[in-house]
Amino acid sequence: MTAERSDPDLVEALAARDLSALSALYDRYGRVAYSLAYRILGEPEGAEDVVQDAFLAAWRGAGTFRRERGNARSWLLSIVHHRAVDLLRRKTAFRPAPLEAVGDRPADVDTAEEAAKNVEHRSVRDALQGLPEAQRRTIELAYFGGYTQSELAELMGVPLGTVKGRMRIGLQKMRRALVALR
Amino acid sequence: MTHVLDDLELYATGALPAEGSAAVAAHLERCAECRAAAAEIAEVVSLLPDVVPLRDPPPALRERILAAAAADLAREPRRSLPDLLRARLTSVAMPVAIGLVLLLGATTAMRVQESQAQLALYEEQLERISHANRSWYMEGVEPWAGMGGTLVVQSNDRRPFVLFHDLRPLPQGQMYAVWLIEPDGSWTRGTSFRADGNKYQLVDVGRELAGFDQCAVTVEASETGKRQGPIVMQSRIAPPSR
Repeated sequence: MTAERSDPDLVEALAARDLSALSALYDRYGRVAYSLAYRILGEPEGAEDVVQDAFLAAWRGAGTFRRERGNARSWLLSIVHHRAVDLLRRKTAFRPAPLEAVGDRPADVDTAEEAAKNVEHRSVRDALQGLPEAQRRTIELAYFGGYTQSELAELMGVPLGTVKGRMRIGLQKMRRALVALR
Repeated sequence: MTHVLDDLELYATGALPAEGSAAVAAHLERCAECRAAAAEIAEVVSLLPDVVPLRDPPPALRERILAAAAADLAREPRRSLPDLLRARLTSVAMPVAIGLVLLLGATTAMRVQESQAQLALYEEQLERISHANRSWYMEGVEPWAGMGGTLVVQSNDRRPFVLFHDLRPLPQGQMYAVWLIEPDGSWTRGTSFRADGNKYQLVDVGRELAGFDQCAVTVEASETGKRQGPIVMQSRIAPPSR
């Protein structure tokens, strides 16, 4: 049986143009990448395009990955997020609603590994849902809705400083909540 | 230096406009304090995808991505460039072949680094190489195997240059030197340079080739003076007819 390759090994192999590394990374993170893109864009075709674009960007730019700046998952999902938001901003007609409108369906998988991941995901979800509504909405509308700071201020009818404050305090609370759970 | 701590949450969640985001990114490159704060915020933000309900992507998406990546591999010059340069292309085929290869190299560099400066450099190289008519490949000798460089001389013998590949960075205080060697064994330094970290690097030799019959690259500790360091690569050359 072949030992599972670590994320850093896979990114290193990606930079060395190892196609099997791209395949392994996709198998590991393609689903969450697609889910994130779908969440931001609200439709499957755009989500597919973004995921394809993001994985190919990772394939072509693996040499720029800096391990000290984060892990491979964060790096990949950050590419997905940037590209999805870029696309969303070009298609300004659609802006997704906050998270509760999407629903809270459990993942349709039942392996032990996925179950463990689901517990972790539940912790993050709880940490976000535990925030006061104004803070949570600010974070969600920025991250998932692709709204810029000035759009957020206008949408929520508050000064820019309030937007920044809500986001800062909300993320600090989330961080404390998640650290306490570890 | 003005710190950007006030904007880090907006930056991490993508809520800054493009110019603001670029300014924060540039600041983070040079400010350890803000970088540390940004890393803490980014860690939390990186977990936000976990709140999204999982959806299965269409199976065909995986195949499309892998097929596109495989097509990249087939087009990329990364490993084939030195082989192509070594292949004693005819003077007619060479400008076209090298131009194509470098154009692909430029595309890769643009994708990877998204750098207009890098692209401009490659375009300049492409323009220059398209007028070349003679070349000699120098292969790295042990323990420098894997590196190499192609000495290219243009039809008018002005500005000969070497297109290196896979140059290794050298320790502080050391540099590469390009030498031209006369038939009597006299060595003349053309230029000294440091590896820039890119896959390919173009270096002007600094003098015409007439009167020399070999080219070599060594590692030296000084930009001037006689050769003292080890030979990295070397090739016999035939000066162009005058």
